[in-house]
Amino acid sequence: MASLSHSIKRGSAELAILMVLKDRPLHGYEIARRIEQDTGGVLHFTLASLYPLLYRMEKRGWTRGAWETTSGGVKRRCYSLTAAGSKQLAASRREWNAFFRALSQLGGLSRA
Amino acid sequence: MRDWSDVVGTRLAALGLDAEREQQIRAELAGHLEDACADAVRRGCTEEDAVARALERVPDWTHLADAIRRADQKEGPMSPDAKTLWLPGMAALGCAAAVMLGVTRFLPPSLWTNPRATLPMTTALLLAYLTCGALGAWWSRRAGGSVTARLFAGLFPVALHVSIFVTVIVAAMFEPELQINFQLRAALIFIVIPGVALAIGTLPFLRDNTKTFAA
Repeated sequence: MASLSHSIKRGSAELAILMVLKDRPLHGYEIARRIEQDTGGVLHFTLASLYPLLYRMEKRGWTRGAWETTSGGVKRRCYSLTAAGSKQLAASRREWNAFFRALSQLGGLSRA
Repeated sequence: MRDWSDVVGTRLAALGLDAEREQQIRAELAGHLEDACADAVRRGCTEEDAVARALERVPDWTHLADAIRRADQKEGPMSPDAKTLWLPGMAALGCAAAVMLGVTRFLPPSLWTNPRATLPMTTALLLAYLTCGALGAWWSRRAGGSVTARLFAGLFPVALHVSIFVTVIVAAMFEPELQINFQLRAALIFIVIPGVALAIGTLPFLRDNTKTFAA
């Protein structure tokens, strides 16, 4: 059960990151803030939960990080979705949909 | 205004990565904390409160350093292509080479010319190739490979056959008796048929595995 819980947490965090990067490149703080705002604070990242995940996703080729100068004139490392990341997003969405369908068939769960 | 690079520099333990990478990570974390602090100030917090809020994002600096270190080590030095294409592909190729070696080394040559043995031997070889293709595609999927990577990983042993075919064709160039028909037949036997067997072997692993999610 512990591994399931871990894989769900990690899988959902990866999916959330891929989803917010779908629209435009964002840097680490923007990613965390967007996810927190859009989920009403339900999904919350500490630096220890966000950055290791971002680095893993970049290594897998799902995202690409590049230093950019923001409108405020400061340098931030912005992450954008790669083609492999887009494919992974589609695959993860299918997996989560299948997962929720399976759970809802057991009863007691409904999707928002 | 707080120097966040200094905060990260003093609190985050050495990551044991190469100097440039480590410096980039520290700069990135400092930027995150700086943005969190500035955001809190914009929302009406005092400078002191904003700093405290930003620091709440790192409840344990040792854990943060460990997590970043693990993230770098866990994936290893291999590129995604190496993990999802080259390694599974080489495994499939090695497996196919072992099958070829076993067949040529341990089976008596008379079996090749025995009509009764042709069907069982061909079937056994094709089944072995199905397995090799399946191995490459399974490994690639397990490593997170795309559908294309899985297919190519499964088809890697075709490279072995192409090299054998090219060798035969080059040798045939010096043999005037050998006709183009022979070359086409050789291509069919040595490349296309094993290739089709390998491709069929990859098929079950080209779909995304939804079961692994809950496994």
